[in-house]
Amino acid sequence: MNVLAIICGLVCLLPVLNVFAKSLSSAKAVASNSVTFWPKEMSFAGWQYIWVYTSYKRTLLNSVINTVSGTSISLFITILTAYALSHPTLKGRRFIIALYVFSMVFSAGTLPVYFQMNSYHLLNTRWSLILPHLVSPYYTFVLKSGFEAVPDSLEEAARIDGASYTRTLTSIVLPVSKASIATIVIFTAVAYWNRYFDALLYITKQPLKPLALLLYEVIKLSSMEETNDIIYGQRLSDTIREASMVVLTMLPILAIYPFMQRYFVKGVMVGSVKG
Amino acid sequence: MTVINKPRRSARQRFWTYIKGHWELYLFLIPGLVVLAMFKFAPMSKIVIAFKNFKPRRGIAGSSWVGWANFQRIFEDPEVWRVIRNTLEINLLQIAVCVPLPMLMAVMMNEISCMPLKKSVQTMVYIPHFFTWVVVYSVFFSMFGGMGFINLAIRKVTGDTVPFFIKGGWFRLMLILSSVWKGTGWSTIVYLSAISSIDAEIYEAAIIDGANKRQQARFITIPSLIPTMVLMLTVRMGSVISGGFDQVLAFYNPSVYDSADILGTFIYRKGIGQSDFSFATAVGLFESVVGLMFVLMSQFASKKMTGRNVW
Amino acid sequence: MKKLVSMMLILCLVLGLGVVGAQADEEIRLKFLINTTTSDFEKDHGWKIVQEKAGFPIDFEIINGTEQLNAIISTGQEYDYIYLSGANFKTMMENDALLEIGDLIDEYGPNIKEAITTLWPAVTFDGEIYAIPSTAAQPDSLRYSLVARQDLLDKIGYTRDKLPTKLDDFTEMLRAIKAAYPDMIPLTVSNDTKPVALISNIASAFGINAGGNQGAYQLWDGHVTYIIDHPGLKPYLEYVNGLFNEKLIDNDWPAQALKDARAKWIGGQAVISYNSWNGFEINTMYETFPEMDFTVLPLLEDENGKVHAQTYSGVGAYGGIPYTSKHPAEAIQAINNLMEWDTHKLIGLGEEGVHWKLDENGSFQAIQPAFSEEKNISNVFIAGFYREDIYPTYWEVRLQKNAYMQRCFYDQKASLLDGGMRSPIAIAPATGVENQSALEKRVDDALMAYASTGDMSKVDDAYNYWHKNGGEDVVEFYDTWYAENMK
Repeated sequence: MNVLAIICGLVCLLPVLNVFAKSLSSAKAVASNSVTFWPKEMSFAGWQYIWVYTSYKRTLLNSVINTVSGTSISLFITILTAYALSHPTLKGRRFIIALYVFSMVFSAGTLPVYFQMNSYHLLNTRWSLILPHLVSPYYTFVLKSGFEAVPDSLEEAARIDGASYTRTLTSIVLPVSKASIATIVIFTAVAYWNRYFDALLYITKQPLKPLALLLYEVIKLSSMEETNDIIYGQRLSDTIREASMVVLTMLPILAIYPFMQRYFVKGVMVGSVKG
Repeated sequence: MTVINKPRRSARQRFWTYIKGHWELYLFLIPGLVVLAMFKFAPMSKIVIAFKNFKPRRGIAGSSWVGWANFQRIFEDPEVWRVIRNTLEINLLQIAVCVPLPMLMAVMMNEISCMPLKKSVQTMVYIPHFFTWVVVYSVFFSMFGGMGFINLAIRKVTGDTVPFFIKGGWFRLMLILSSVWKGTGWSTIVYLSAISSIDAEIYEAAIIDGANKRQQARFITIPSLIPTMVLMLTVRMGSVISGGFDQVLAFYNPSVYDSADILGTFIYRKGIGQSDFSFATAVGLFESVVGLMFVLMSQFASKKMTGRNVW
Repeated sequence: MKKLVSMMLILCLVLGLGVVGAQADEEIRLKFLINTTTSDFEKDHGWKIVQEKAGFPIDFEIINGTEQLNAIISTGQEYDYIYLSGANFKTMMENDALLEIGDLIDEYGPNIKEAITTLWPAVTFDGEIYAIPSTAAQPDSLRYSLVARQDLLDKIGYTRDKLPTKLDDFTEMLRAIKAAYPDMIPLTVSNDTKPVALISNIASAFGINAGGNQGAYQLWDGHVTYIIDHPGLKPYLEYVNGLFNEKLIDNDWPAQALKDARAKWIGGQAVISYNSWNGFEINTMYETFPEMDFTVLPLLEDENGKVHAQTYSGVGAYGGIPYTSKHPAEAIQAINNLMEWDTHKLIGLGEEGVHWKLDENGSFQAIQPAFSEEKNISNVFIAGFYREDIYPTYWEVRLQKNAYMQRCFYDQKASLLDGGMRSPIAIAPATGVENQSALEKRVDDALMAYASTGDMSKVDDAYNYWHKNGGEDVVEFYDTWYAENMK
């Protein structure tokens, strides 16, 4: 069993190592296929190329701004909604839940949404990337279950004492639901960070490009100008360029990962087991 | 004897009293509903494009009405049916593989006795979930592409390379493998937590009866995980017609369009990409309606099987 | 009292004038939509020159694909200029999305008229001009041909002077390669080139012009002919299919993207590659295989000893003004300024002494590293309106960044001998036949299917489909146009 587990772990880890290694190797080593899991003839030319010659810095900043603002606003809205919906006796609750479920599965379509964004004059703005995803019905439901798991007695006691719903939420329910909330935060943040399709359609102004879109462009849309293969006295190639872009996109996530890990396991536990 | 008659309040008054009594909760619901209204429901007004022959210069209002013509085209165009088949085949294949696997993996991980090993394996296995599909594509192409080290090994053995990203069948394998790589580890969390809520006494009783590890897993652990698996299956079935867009868009290339095009990418590339706006909208609507049907069906089935609501 | 009233009136007048004046002075900023790039604009020398010399501040935005362009057009967003590839130009015309700019060019574009002389027919419909035709950067050169690893050929006796010029000798050479290097692929091709199944060197032996940018339309017997009607097609396909079956051509051909074919060439898995001068990372190859050397293979002769190939000429891209622009006159003025001789030179080539200098022959020579670093994406700012008369010369300077690439380019050009021909429809306007692209694609796919499977019935099917569904109209349009304009 242990062996099997190790194999699974390695299967997940090794491909990542392979890309890392390629990004830090010389073009010759990569071209002759001698790079497996460790850099050969180590060179930072690929990383430097992405850092200096592409819009990496600006897109990175954009992604950070979009993710932080999107996640905080979304958290605010989701907490309020989930809390309200976690009261089984609330009149109209079934109807609103049905609305959420409906909006989760039914989409007007790419083009109608695009047209609507145009009507709001939101095209080519940062908000076009943030606003549509502030509400995720699925995560709202996860948080709702999390709140429902809070013992009724706690809330009742507070209500009897005359506390308002707001007070109950902030002083009683939230402190107990840290794990669920942390989960939502992580899911939402990662979703914002990785999202590229919206930008693909809505954004033409370069300064607004998020990192995920730059990644898509480098990997799928462009190839290196032949003439750029001499940089910093090293040799680059398409493969190294792409590998470097991927690595530099992975790094911010990997950096935060250890901090996140503590929370999300507990949070998913609470949110998913029902009954 | 005094009888105090309370005035009878009308239903309307009772309604407003209720609202006033719980006004905060209704207030809390407003922001979410506003966002949904603006970005999910409002765009539905634009669906009318599907019923017209939209020409950019004429705008929506100025374009001529064609009724169901675009939808008729969906049913008559053989290419659309091929794409629908692709969508269903690819998604069903993925579901068949990706739903049971995390359960088995959770069972296996549960057996690990060495704590540090358990923690490090878990860490490694969760990571791929956080990468965007473009990154996953890049990683897989680097390994399975014509010059990747998997093909290098294959060449040494058979003298030929396998066109993983070129031939339809192999390409679907890439889609499934990458789904497994990206999603399995993460899904095990759900199962692991379900396992942790199984009563320890049941295991103790089984051990007393002489059950070994394998029997414990077969007769206790797995059966208790089945409801969770059904739940996950239900949720996934809902996206059998609409799911996979980000993945396929990042993975596919012209040589596999035939077998890998799903509805979403078809709409994007051939609808919008060839300025066939009305048709693209019609197909999109078709996709949503069918998706809704699938969700309702799977919800119904799940309720029948497990007796409780998904949401 | 009267004084007060008159003072108020004067005040109002002044204010009113001020407001009107302010509006008149309100800056006009132009929005230009160009092709995607992953670098920041502001770092490039070309961008700086554009802002200085255009006469209006220009904000550049980028589109990353046809889908986004179509979405933009569908909602009528305002842009003053859009860079259009051939396919996008067709789409814009179909959607009636471009302004006709003939009058504006007459009034504001003297430089435009001076700089572009022969390409106008490609953008003229019903007597109106709908875009600025930008020249292909390397007309009269061969875009695609076979490039071989000379070091490997030398080892089996095919030195430079012994390279085959006849079809049978070529087949023999491929067989010799396969025998000597059983692990390698003799010839690898990708499925990106157009039309897909035509390999310039080989097609030449059957009288077919290929290797350019519009290979499907040939000039045969003085008439514009589509490839499906060309008498040399079937023999060509049979020959290529033979190579395919003998595994002398990479069997991955039908499905292989340019990146993959290139990777095989670079990684030393293929001996000959069907390539463009910019298609291989030569420097890396020289490092990986120190004995490496490359040659451009000669075009194969037909039975009369003549070679045939198509040059990469005509219109490379289009600069159009969408109907949503509120400042079309200013846009033309800006473009006119950017096409002015010295400005164009500054953007396309750079500053003398900084980015380039004249060598002893009076040709332009790039100064490194300034040229590579500061002028890397400069062409992107003027890509929709290159000066037909001089831009190809500037473009060739870019080749100097890499000696091998430069050699390959000139060798490919030289291999044309006297057989290089421009496509007969290089500057022809759109035919207006609705499903032309669909028809062409069907033929493309059929040719490719035949080459790999040997199933001639697919070609016959395509032949019938073409003739029944509008293909004849297309050819007739081109032929008539050709007779009227080019003879």
